[in-house]
This record gives sequence, structure tokens and C-alpha cells, in this order.
Amino acid sequence: MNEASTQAIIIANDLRTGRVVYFTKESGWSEAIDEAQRLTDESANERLAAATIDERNNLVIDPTLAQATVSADTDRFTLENIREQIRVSGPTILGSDHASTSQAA
Amino acid sequence: MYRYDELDQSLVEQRSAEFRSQVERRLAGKISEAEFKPLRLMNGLYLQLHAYMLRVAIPYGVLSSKQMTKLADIADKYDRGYGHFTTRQNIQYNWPKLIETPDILDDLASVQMHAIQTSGNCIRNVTTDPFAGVAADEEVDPRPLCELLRQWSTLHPEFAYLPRKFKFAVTGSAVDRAAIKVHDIGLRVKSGPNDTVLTDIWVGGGQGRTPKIAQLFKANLPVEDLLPYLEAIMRVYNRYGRRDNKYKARIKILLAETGLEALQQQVEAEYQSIDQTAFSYIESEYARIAGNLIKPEYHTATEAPTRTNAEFEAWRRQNVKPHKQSGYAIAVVSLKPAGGIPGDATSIQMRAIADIAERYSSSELRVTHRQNLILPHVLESDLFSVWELLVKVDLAEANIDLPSDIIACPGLDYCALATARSIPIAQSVSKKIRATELTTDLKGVSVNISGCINACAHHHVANIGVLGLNKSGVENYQLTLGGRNDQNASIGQRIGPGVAADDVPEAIERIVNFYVDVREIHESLPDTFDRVGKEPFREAVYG
Amino acid sequence: MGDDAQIVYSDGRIETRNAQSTTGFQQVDGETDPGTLTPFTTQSIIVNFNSIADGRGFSLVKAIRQNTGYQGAIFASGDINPDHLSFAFQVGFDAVIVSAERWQKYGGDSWRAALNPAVRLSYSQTHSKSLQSIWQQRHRI
Repeated sequence: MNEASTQAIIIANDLRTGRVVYFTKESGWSEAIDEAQRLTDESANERLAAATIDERNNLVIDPTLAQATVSADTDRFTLENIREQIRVSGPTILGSDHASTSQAA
Repeated sequence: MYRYDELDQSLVEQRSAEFRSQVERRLAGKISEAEFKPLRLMNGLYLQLHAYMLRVAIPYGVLSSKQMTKLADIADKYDRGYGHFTTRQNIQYNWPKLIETPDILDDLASVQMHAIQTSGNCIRNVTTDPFAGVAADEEVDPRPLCELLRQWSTLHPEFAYLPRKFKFAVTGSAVDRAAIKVHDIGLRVKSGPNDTVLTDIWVGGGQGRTPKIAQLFKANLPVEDLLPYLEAIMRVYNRYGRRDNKYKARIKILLAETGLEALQQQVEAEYQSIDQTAFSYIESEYARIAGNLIKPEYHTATEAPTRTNAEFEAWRRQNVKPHKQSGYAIAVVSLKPAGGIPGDATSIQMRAIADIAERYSSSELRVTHRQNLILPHVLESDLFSVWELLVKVDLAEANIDLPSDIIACPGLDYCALATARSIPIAQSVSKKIRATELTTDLKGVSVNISGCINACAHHHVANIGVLGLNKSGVENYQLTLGGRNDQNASIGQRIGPGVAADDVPEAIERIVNFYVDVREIHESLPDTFDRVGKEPFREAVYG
Repeated sequence: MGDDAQIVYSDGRIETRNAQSTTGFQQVDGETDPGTLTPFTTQSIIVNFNSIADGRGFSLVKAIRQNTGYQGAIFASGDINPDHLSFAFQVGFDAVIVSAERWQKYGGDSWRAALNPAVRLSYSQTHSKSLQSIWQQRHRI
């Protein structure tokens, strides 16, 4: 089995709606985790700087990097922090329709 | 309940208009998030993990059928069809949009409601005994004082930027159902000679990182002298409370660091300097509020109740409490179905209970600090009909004051401050313990689950407290035993190392079983804990 | 405008003053313990808010008048933005001194709008002319 690598995505909240949004390749924001740009260690800080411009432009609040491990054989992308996992997947409440509509990472 | 006059009404409308303009300025980029944040918090608007969260004030937990129906409408129109009732007797919406919040506040104002000071470093929504005005054992109705405090603290310019948030609780009974000893200020109203009302002021209680039981600060103060006295306490706290460390900023720390006597002297000196003429109207305002409370018209039962069944009797035994008016009862509606989300209600449930209250409880409802609802004025002969209607909307769980009547904060499923999840733990605990409590007498055993050290679920003062932490990236739960939140308030003690999420239900079951094995007749869990000590309980859980 | 400060008065007047014209005003920190106040000799006092997160200055203005018998003008300055103007007038400040920088940051429109606040009621007594005390109105005092 190959070793897992780390990647990151940039997560923020949309100012107007509060919804969780992800920074995309096109330097936009999307509510779909699939559209989040996956960043390597080298590119992460540079992209975060770009995302922060949108905070100053009052589009999003508090863009932050969320680290994830990616398994080399399956390309499965797993956020390292449980807080960010829940932020992406929505509430984990058992047997309820309260969970968010966004799909799990 | 208190009915707004035109002035109360205008104020909430104006406040809503003010917030609308603040939101517009924020969206237009005229104010930054750093500047906007304190403004939105003063209107109860947080930014949580998934979305904004709006906390709506239900002053001292009292609301009308009409207000409850509006809360249901708001849940459908602006949110996801449900709301979460909290330990501060408020309701929270988990998914509102910033752009729609001003409309929500307008809708609230249309039914005499608001979100003023449900967050921020100011005086928060005042809480009280959920049985206020109806409890059989009540000495003085605390609601007029609660309303006076609401008015006094609303947009008080001197106390909008305190070192930290500030919470009041009020009780009018010797049996404390408002947990006044774990609030920044707890007030006990009592009757004095010649129809006077006196207050005992308890200061410096609190939970969070440094749990403290309040100390008696001033006894037997006539209610008409209370506001200037509170103003003196608030000024001294504002002046000397610590601003260098937010974990040491509450008045409990100031009291501990200054000492009771020295702090009393500072407050007395400040009190003497206050211009009393500015408060000359308090007595008449208190009387006006008391006179303005809408009182239900009590009737004599026309017929004896005839219908019954075993399920109803179980519900009645557990959820119905004695009313001061003969022929009437207080019905507690559980928001804790086994396996459910503590404190959550769907819009369908909110409307149903609003209708039931309109028909059977003088259109009045209460929210309890244990996150349940109350129908405060039900004719005993109507109880069966009420229960039948509650069954239809899954609101008839007969578990009030049993271990499955769990207080839980939103935890890491919603809250940006949380370190671990609370709700799924509550769900699995209540499912497991419900089976036990149906066959064993566990009345009075409380289980409270907080998802971080801020202790929103009051775990420190639960008989069985659960605190969720994050240990090297994994959720881990500490157990405390022996807490009490009544007139004999005490802080629970940690009994051992934290346990994994999956092990919490089993650990609680072991605690309960051990308690049942060793308890003496009528001995509460904390009394047993005090008598036998920590070790045997520890052994029972970890041994 | 340049470096000139704007002085926003509780009666709605706005006055432009150059920065030097407030020299000679006595400066008091908003965090000052009222117990340490000594009688003032100047005709104008400025209470400076170092951070709006600290609201002690709103109590201090009352203490200055009560404890020292001071009768002159009291200004607020520092970390005050348009959303705090109403509170400042309510507790008895005569005016708020807005630096050129803060005036520009929030925009003259926002400052002028704040003179005509949405909230025109307060429960307790107020010194502000744009606010009415609900309790006073109810009890005719």
C-alpha cells in the first residue's frame, strides 16, 4: 500500500447566507465540496492569501485551511479534524432529517 | 403573562429597524466583520459551524400560543422546519441567512418578541422558575420582577460592554427550580411584612471552566430598592471585573479574588452614591407590571374525569405537577423522546402545542431550563384530552425528571465553540436508560451533557454530568457525579478518566445500577454519592 | 477636511475643528476609577474610549458630574463608532469627537444618520434629546 499524502482545502462561510463554502480552482466559492480546490503544501498559503481578499471584499467570513489525508491507492480524501468533517458533512445526528444537504467529504 | 404596551412594542420595532440598517451597512461593506460581530451578537445572531444561528429571547420562558405559532412559522419560512429550546429558556434557529434576519426580527416584533441581548457581553435574558405563578409551593410570583429586570437591562447603555456576559435567574419558591445559585446573580423573592416583597441577592455563581456556587450577598432588600442596588453591583463588576483573560472575567472570579466582605463594601459605597430619585418610579412600575399580567380565568371543573388508561396514568404520574389552583394541573411536555434530540421541536409540534395551549391552557406556554415545554393551566378533567393530542405529535414521552430527560447543548454538531458532540451521546444514552427507568424508580436523577467546558448544558450541577472534550483529535467524555442545581446546589466531582463516545451509555448505566444497589430509602443520587464517596462509584464504572 | 476632527453634538450640530483646538481640554481615560477623580479645573473634559469593548466610560461620565460637581462640557472620543453615538448621548456626553480618520472610515452619511437613530426609546432615564424614557413617560415624572 502506498503512503497517504496530505492536501488541504479552504473553507469559509458565505457572508450573506452563512453557508459553508469552498474555494475553487477558479477563485470562486462553491457550496459543493467536490468543487473545492485541493491544495498541496506549496500552494496552500498562496491560495489562502487569494481567498482572504474575498473576506476583505465582504463576500465570505474567516477563510481557513482544512487539512486532509489522501490515501494513495483510493484517492479517498479525509479531513483530519473532526470539527471540519462535521462542518462539511452537516450534523451527524442519528436518524434525523436535520443533517445538512451538502454531501460528506 | 406580561402584555406589551405601545411603548414596549415601539422599542422592539425600532430595535429591529436599527438591526436592518446595521445589516445593510455590513452587506454594503461599510462595516467590517470585526465591527459587525458585537452588533449582531447583541441581537442574538451567531456564526456557527454550518450557518448563522439566531437565538430568540423567550423572556423568563413565558410565551403565548400566538407567539409559539409564529416561532413555528419562522422555522418553516426562514429555517429548516425546526427549532431548539435551550437551558436559558430561549429558542435557537440553526440555519437562518443573514440577509433574512431583519425580516425574522420584524416577524418576531409582530408578536411582541425579540432577540435583544441573547448574546454579547451584556445582561442576558432573565430566567426563572418555569412554574412561576402556578406552583403550589410558591411564595411570591417572580414574573413581575423578571419583567422589571427585562426592561431595566434592555439596551442599558452602561452595561452593554461588560467584561463578560451576565446572567440573572429569579425564584419565588423555597424549592429552587431556577438554579439561582449557579448564575452571576440569583434572586430569591419572598414576602415581607405588610404585603411587601423582599429579595435575597446571591452573587457569583456560575459554571464553565470554574464552576462556583453563589454566595448570599444581600438579604431582605425591599424590591423597590433592588434596581439601584443591582446597578451598583453591575457598576462595581464593570469597573473591577477582569478584562485581561476571558476565562477570569465573570463576577464569580471577581468575588473570589476580592472576597465577599470587600466586594459588599464596594457595592454599598456605590449604592450610596446612586441618585435614588432616578428610581423613584420603580414601586409603581412593579405594581403596573404585576397588574398587567394576563391572568387565566380559572373555572370549576364541570365534570369528573372519566377516561383513563395505563399509558395516560404513567404520563400523568411523571409529567403532571401540582397547581396552586384547585382542580388545575401543570402539564410538562417532554421534548426528550428516547433517542431524540433534547430540546428540539418541529414546526408541526410547535403548532400542535400552541393549539393545545389555546384550547386547554389559557393560550399560555412555558419553556423550562431543562429544555421542555409546559402547559401551565390545565383543568385536571382535561388532562386526558391533552395527553391524547400530545400523543399524536410524539410529545407524550412520560419521562420528566427521569434520567432520559437529558439536558444537552447543540455540541459539535452545530456549535463553533464545542470540542465534542453532545446530541448523539444524548440520543444513545436516553435510548439505553429509558428501558431501565421504566422498571426501576429513578425519579430525580438528572443527566446533563455539555460539548465543551463552557457548560451550556449545566453538566457541573447534574447528578450525572457528561463533559465532551477533544483528546488528541478524538472525542472523549468526562463523567462527574454528585452535582445539584436546586437550593442545595453543589458542583459534581470527576470520578475518573474520560471515556470514549461509545462507552458513555454503558458507563451511565453502571452508575445508575450501582446507585440503585446501595441507596437508602428516598436517597437521591448525590446524597448517596456524598455518603459512600467517589471510590465505589469509580469502581462501578471502571472496575 | 484634512486632519480636522468632527465634533458631533447631542443636539445634532456637527462642527469641524482642527486637531489643535482641543488642546487644553482635560483628558480622562474611560477606564478611570471614579473613586480617584479629583475636581476638574478646565471647562471641557474628554473621556477617551480605548476600546469600545470596554463600556466603563459610559458610567464614568455620570460619576464625573455626580462626584466632582463638574458643570462643564464632557466629550467622548476614541473607539466610538456611529452605532455607539446614541448610548453616548443617553448617558450624558455633550458631544463625540470623531477623528478625521474615523469620520472617513464610516462615512459622513453614517455619522449623520446616527444622529437620527432608529431606536428612540429607552426604559430608564436619558440625557439624550432624541430618546424618550419609557418609565418616565409611564409615570409622568
